[in-house]
Amino acid sequence: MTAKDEAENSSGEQQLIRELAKLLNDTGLSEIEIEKSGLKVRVARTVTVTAAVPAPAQLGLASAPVASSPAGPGAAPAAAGSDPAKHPGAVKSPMVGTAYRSPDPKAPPFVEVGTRVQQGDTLLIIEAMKTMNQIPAPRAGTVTSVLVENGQPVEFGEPLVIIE
Amino acid sequence: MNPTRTERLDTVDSTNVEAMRRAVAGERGPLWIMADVQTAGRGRAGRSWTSEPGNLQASLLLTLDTAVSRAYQLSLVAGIAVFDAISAGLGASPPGLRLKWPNDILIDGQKAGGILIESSTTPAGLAAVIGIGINIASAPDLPDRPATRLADHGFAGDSGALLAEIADATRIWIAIWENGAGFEVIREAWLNRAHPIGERMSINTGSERIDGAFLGLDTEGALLLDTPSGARRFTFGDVSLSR
Repeated sequence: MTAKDEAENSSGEQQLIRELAKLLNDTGLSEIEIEKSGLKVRVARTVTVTAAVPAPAQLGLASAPVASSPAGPGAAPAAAGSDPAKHPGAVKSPMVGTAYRSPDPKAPPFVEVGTRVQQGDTLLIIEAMKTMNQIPAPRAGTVTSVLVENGQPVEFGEPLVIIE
Repeated sequence: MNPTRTERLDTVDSTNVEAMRRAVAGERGPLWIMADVQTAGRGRAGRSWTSEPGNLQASLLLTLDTAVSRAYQLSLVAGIAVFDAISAGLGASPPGLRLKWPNDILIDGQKAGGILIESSTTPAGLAAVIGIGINIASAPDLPDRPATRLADHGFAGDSGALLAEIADATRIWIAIWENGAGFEVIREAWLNRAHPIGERMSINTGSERIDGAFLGLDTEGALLLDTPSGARRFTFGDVSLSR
């Protein structure tokens, strides 16, 4: 491959990503992934206002109310890799909050690695402002990985458990 | 939304647990479940909520057409509704009646009631349960936080009468909230019923305890505190007012 070819390829990729990002905004989708001739591109954006807030822990006042618009910097290409979020069995957080693995500190966890779950079984609870949100298993299977610790802050879209 | 129903039980483990059981069984609400006695009432982080005779223990089950990421907003909505119902029950808003983030009901700095909200995604939509406990006839003796009862502040009704007021106020504020579209109105209404800006308080997040001064709520309803390390934003934790 010549330098010129590479430059053209790179420019083609950029063009592709731009088009996908535009498509993402036009369609209102949160994520598009395509694969062709050895090239895999995933373009994702944050959809909700909640997701646009950087971190629950600490935030300067000046930046607190800012939510990125869907057409703004939220649309960014993400490299394909082997992180758990890409795992087909990953159950992702629908919200920002604090994850709890058991209904109360003295109770055993809802699930552990190896637990067989039915669709709708509670996997964990995510708290935001004294609202305890049960996160149900989207499908039946066996928990092969638990990716969050009790009391851990979680972000929108963060993988929580993997069910296979 | 269907008309709201109320069911009164003698004894139940927890009105929240019962409401969620109903949701799993297909009930969509709005349904209030009230119990004279709870044998396993709960607060945040698994704390028990004692059930005293003559107090109000009730939970509202709703099925909402909204994302789980917005369910937390009900925390402020419910706080406002309970505040308004108690105000009405006391005849006038007593100067000491305040909301403490996110939804504790304080009278003269003492806890008169609390709210615990739970949600779960069901095939019918987001099942949300708003659990409310109000000290009417008796205040529990708590080692760490002072409690009070409405009977000491001129409230003459019983739990049924208070629930009727709370149900009315909740219906109205849920309508204003509009599944999240009306959240800015909710935020303003909450601030109008809360302790003043600048109030000294501390928050215990489980991993740390931070002292600060109340700066208000951000656009999402998170607590803003002026702390020794600058302005900080909190989405969970136990708040105590400094006395």
